[in-house]
Order: sequence, then structure tokens, then C-alpha cells
Amino acid sequence: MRDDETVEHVTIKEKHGPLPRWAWLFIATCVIYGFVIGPFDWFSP
Amino acid sequence: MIDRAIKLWFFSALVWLVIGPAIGAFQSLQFIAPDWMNFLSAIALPYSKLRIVHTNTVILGWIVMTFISAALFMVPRLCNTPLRFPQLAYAAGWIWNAALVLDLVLIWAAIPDSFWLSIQAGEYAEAPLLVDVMIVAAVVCVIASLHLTVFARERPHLYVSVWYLLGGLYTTAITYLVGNFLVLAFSGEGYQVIEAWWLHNAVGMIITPLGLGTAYYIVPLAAQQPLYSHRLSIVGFWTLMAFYPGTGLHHFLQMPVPIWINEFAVISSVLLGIPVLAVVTNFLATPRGNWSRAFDSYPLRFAALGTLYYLATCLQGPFQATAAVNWYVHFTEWVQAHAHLALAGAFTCYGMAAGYYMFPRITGRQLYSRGLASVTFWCMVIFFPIFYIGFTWSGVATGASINLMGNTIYQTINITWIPRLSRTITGTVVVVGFIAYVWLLLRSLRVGAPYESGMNEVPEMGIETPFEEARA
Repeated sequence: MRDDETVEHVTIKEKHGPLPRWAWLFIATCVIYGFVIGPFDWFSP
Repeated sequence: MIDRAIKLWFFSALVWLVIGPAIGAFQSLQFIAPDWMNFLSAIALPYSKLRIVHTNTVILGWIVMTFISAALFMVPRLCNTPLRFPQLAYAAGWIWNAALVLDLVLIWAAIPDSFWLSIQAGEYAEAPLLVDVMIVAAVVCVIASLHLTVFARERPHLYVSVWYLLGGLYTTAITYLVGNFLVLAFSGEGYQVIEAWWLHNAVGMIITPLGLGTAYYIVPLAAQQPLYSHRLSIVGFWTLMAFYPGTGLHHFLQMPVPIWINEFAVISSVLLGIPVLAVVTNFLATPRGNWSRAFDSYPLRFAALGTLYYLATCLQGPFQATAAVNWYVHFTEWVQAHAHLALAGAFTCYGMAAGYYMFPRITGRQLYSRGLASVTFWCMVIFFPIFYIGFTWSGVATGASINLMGNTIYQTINITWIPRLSRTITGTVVVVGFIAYVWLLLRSLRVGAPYESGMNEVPEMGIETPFEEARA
């Protein structure tokens, strides 16, 4: 079924290109922090 | 019919925005003047029920309804085709509202031992089973309408908002089914594991994708700039879908479950930094070079403010999910403060950004008062952080009291009344800001100047250059 009402056209432009190098650095930090620090109970008494 | 469906979801959300947070502010009096609140038990509305009403109306009433109205508004525009089967979305809006009203009545009535009508045990899943059936039926109707629209789209490229909004509706249905139906097949520890999965994914797999999809639509249009990075937006979507579902059990790290489940939850929680990075970078880098637009555009202001709160809550989340921190903050109001930063801060700002953006475009009326719009914004800038700090302060003090000094939770009341009083006062001001927002929109229906495509939302702000022409 198609409604007779029209719809406003919206185009959102985007920039394309590879991920910046700092993004990879941040991802690596999350992975290391998550696996090394995260699960272990370092400080509780 | 398309406009009626969007308006039904949109204006219903405004009603729930007045009810839900106001109940929250009112019930917070329980912590500073419990004797005053005794009368509530006499009318069968004790704190335990009011809390359920508060969370259910805020989450399912205000936040999800406003984002579904945004999905109905945005997806057809991005697909360059009208909404298919708008009758389904319209009927779903009434079913959803009826479910919420029924939910409130059944919570008040508290019918015991009824399979369909009794309040359920799970946090955020307290709605009786009959209400759950109605909610799922409504979600399925909205999914059918929107997915058929996406199938019929007249441009092949799917902007990231469509991924988030449609994906978010699918994860809403799945999460709701697991948390409210599948969980009934388990008991004891198994029940608690599923319950943990549900209660965190109620935020992460229902509200987060819907809210981010909405903001991804508003930010580039309001800033009149191209989205900073398409690739980052897609990385953010898929890492959110990959890592979020595993995080729930960080709520129960002290529970006797296999340690690998705990570790999986903690690692997933920390890895959530990746989608957060993607989203925040895109939202804050897109307006770069054109931030002056924030002076003219309330949608951009609220989207930027929501992004700052989103960044704060998402830095806090992985931090408190680690075992090294969780032992201290567990059982304290730190956790509720975190939940309010996400829902009342980040996602309410995104919801209000969507409201300011959509209102003139679905009603044909501009907002009638720039001053009142400013009041709603500065309430969220000034008073919400104080409200959050009061909440967190209370949590830190309670943590010290019960974990380091060995006090009971009841003994903490004497040391936390100042932050609790602070959060009641500032929380009330935030609620007044919400009421001002609703009043602004409703009054604009009557007295707002006519709106035409390409105009700004607020009359004093002049005519804005349409995005297409500005960046052609």
C-alpha cells in the first residue's frame, strides 16, 4: 500500500575516508584496559 | 494518517514527560521526610509502587515514545518515500498508551497470584504480563510499518540513522521478549542472570540505539555540516550491537555466578568505549567550524548538551563496572545517579532536541517564545548537573558508610540528608523545566507563527538557509 501523502526529501551528507589513526589507538586502549584491568578485583579490602 | 501517527506518539510522550519525572521528584521526599509520606501507604501507593510508576512512565512513556515518533518522522524522509501502513503505527500508538495506563492501574491495584495481571519481580520489568503483550504487539506494528518503508525506499544508501532506528526497534522487541517472557522460564540464579541482561539492555538495546539514531539525524541538519565520518558511524553501530548485549551482569558482580560470566560482562562494558568514541566524535566534530549555529538552533544546543552527558555517563559506566570500583558503589545511589545521567540527562536532551526539530515540521507552527526555550535549556545546563552531583555525593557517602565503616544502610540516612535534600530541590527545578518545555510546545500550537519549510523553529531567529543549498 502506498499513502498518497508526499514526504519531504532529506539528504544528509557524510564525509568518507578511513578511520583516523587516533581512533585505532583508542580502540586498542579499550581492548587492553578491558582484558587486563577490568575483570580483576584489584583494590577491594 | 502519517502525520496523525507521528503526532500521536509525539504528544503522548509529552504527557508522560510531565507525569514520570514529577513522580520521581515527589517520591524523593521519602528520603528526607519519611514521616510526611506515610499517607501514601493509606492510599495504597507506597514508595515501592511509586518507584515502579516513575521508571515505567519515564522509560516507556516519555523516552521510547518520543524516539518512536522520531523514527516515524525520520526514516521515511531518509528513505525518500512515505511511511508505509501508517495505520499500523497509529494503532500501535493507542495500544502503547492503553498499555501504560493499564500498567499504572494494575500497579496500584497490585492483584496477587494472577498470571496476566500481577506485578512482576524484575526491575524495569514490573509491568504485568498483559501489559507486556500489548507493548510487544505495538512494537511489532511499528517495525512492520517502518521496515516496509525501508524496503520501498527510493535511494539505495541507508544513512546511519536508519540503521540505528530500525535496528533499535528490533532490539527493543527482542530485549523486551527476553526480559519479560523468556525470563519466566528460569528461577534462582538463572533468573537473576537473565534479569541482569534485561535491565541493562533496557537502556543499551532499547533507548540507546533509538536515541543515537535520532541525534545522528538532527546534528548534521541543525549544524548544516556534513557528518564528520561515515565509517566511524558504521563502526559505532556495529560495535554497539556487538558489545552492549554482554554487559548486563556487571550489575551483579558480587553474585555467585560462574566467574567467566562476570569477566565477560566487565570486558564488554569496557569495550563499549569504542562505540561511544565513534558517536561522540561524530556529534562533536560534525558542527566544527559552524558552532555558531548553536546560538540559533535549539535542536543543536540540546543535541550537543546531550552528547556531553552521554560522554560523561559512558565514561562513568565502564569505570564503575570494573570489579575494582564496583564493590564500593554497589548498593548505593551512585548507580541511580548514573542511570539518571543517561536517561534524564543524555537521552532526555536528545528527546528534547528531536522535539524542537520536529515540532514545527509536523504541526506547521513555530515555537512562540525564545525565552521559554532558553529556560528549558538552562535548566538542563545548570540544575541537572547539581541534581546529579547530589545523587552521586549521596552514593559516595553511603559507600563509605556501609563498606568502610561497617554501618547498615539505615544508618547512612543521617549522613546523606544534605545531598538528598539538594537532589530533591534541583530535581524539582529540572521537572519544572520539563513542564515549561511541554507548555511551550502546546501553547505554540495555538499562538505560534506559521512555519514553512526552510524556516528556523523560533521566530526571532530569522530564516535559516536550507541545508541542501548551504552545502551544495
